[in-house]
Amino acid sequence: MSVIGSSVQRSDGEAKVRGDAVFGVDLVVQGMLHARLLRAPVASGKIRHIDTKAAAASEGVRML
Amino acid sequence: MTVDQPVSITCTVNGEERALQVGAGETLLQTLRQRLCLTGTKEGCLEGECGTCTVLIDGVPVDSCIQSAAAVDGREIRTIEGLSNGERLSPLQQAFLDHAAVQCGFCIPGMLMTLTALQEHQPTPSPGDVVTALSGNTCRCTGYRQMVDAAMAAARGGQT
Repeated sequence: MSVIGSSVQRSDGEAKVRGDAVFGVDLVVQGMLHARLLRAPVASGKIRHIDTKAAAASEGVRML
Repeated sequence: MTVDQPVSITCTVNGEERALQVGAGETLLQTLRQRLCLTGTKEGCLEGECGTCTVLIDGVPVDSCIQSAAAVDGREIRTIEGLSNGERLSPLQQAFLDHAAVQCGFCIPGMLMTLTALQEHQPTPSPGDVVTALSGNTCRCTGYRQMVDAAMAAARGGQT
């Protein structure tokens, strides 16, 4: 066996030390949408209503 | 002045002079990744804690996520893309490969920039110097030992 017991370099190592490796955050595809999370301003509570009017009126918003 | 207000700057990025329009509130990390498509510099915590976004400004390691882009006018910036000499990896990059210091790889650009600065200021560091230099860089795979070994080997001229 030529691999077992020997020290091998990882196949993606060079791309990673060059900064060439593409991670999820580096990926851009045409027409890609971006999501934003709105966090609750209080630690514990019941959501009765969220006023989405201003957000829905913003340019480029597809979904709320 | 608003955060979006354009500011004209000229700086050197990896040896190339760049004339740029950046936002007044823009971070250097945003400029590098979004305007210059230099995505080798990674976004980690966005609050200057993890060191993932480290670049060199005039040879000094800086967290680019909390560095104003408008303030780098006239400065020399180096990123991970500028470390190798074409095909040839820098001694530190090669040592990282040889010592299996790369795991998921997300922190590696920042680690290599920090260690490049150390190497330039302190060519014969002790293991303690390396650990101190890396104290601002977080690796969540926790492979620090291999990185210290790699930095020491690179300082010794690549011999293990």
